[in-house]
Amino acid sequence: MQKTELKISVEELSPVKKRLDITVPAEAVKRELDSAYKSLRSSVNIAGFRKGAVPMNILKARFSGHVHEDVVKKLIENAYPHALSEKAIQPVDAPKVEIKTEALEEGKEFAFSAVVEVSPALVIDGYMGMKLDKKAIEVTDKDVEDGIQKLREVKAGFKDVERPAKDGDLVVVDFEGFMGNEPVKNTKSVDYPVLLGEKTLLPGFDEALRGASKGEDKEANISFPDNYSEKTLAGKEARFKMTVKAVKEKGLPELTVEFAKSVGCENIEGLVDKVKKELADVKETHDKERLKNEILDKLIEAHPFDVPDAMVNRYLGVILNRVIDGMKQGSYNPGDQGLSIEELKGKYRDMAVRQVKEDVVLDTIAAKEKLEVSREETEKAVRSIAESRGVSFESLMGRIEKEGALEIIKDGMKHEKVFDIILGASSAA
Amino acid sequence: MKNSYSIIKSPVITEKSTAKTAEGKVVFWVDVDANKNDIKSAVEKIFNVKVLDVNTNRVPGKMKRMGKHAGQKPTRKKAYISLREGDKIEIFEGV
Repeated sequence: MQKTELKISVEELSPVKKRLDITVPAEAVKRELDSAYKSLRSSVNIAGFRKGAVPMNILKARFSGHVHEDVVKKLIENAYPHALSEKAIQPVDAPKVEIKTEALEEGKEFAFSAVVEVSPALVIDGYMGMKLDKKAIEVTDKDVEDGIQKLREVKAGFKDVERPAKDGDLVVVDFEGFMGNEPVKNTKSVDYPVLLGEKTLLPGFDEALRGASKGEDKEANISFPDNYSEKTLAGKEARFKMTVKAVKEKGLPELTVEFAKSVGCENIEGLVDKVKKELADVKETHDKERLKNEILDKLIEAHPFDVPDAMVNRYLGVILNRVIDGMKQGSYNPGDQGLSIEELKGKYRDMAVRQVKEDVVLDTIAAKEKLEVSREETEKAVRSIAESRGVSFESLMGRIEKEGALEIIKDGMKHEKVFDIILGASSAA
Repeated sequence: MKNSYSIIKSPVITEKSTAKTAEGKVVFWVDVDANKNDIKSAVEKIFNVKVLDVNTNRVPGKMKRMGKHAGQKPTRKKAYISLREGDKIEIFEGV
């Protein structure tokens, strides 16, 4: 079908909604019908006729309803994309199609209308030379000290001590539970490390072990909690015999050249520099996020526009999926608990609208500035993700392409570029 | 004579019969006991057309077998009817 054959008129229902009235000319309708009957003829079996030898009039009499339905579908499928490209409309969702011709007839034209939602046509300016609340990034000596302290704690080791155990110590212990004189099944452990004060074992263990020294034997009556996973034991009491094998003290590594070397630095100065740099990076990322939000706030405020429902619903769907997945894994967002889907939708709708607006604004600027993300750039980004996750580039790329996530990555990079030019052209308020 | 509507049973719709339409002929299954005169008057009465000629032939019923049970399909009679030029019978136009 050539697009010039179509008669198309566009009516604006709202800034984000358009109605396309499309009329397919009679010749095109006839052509479609003929080809539909022809393909039907080669496949249909009617008693009294050989396959493929059924006369047209008999086919038309018997299969018109079926064929017409198919042809209508096909006409719309063909005409709709042509109409979109001719009128340069980019819908954000599937159209709502309404057929206006009551019955398809050979020799008559076929008319239908399609209501589509489009991205709002925005003209955004004022994004160059924005005044932003830029803050200098500074890392204080105290920040560095805290950073190094944290690093020491991560690298902390344990060493044996000959003194009674106290909270914070690691106690290595053998134990077994008895009821009467019978050992209780599955309660025997050898060389079990217990970090005192963390209450990782049944209540009562920590208390019994506190003050014990290396080589000491202990006994304690410990009751299983009522909700213990082993039903036969829940709520009962058992006598536990324990032997302390070792008491170890948690020791922070000294701030020495060796310690610096163990984290990959030449000397203590190098370590300080490294920590400082890492902290600065973190702060910078935080600050950039804040600035991005500020930019978006300002732009959205300066350019009020309607958002298409279809887009909002799509974003809302994504948000809800994430929230519900989170619930399944047990990480509740306080306040979401016990809400129905409808209530959640209401709650997160504003967030979805905001996200749509952000994306529309950023896309519009990207289009205006002709920002493109090349294949090489996306590949580079994927490669770095692959590296950080420790998977091969090929397998990650394959998965991304299969899930259609490449576009999302591309969009994200495009948006980054938009922020870069805005930030580059901005000045401090 | 029998009722016209029991003489003419149904149209024959096959490749051969549709090909005959082009020659101005139509084909019907008719009562085996009907003669050409009966058929002519019945067609003229029912379809309001002028019949020029009637050719008939009997189609003998076949033996049909379902395991050990043998059966006989009924013998039928087919009538080729030549219509006056311009006359038409609607049921052959699109069935």
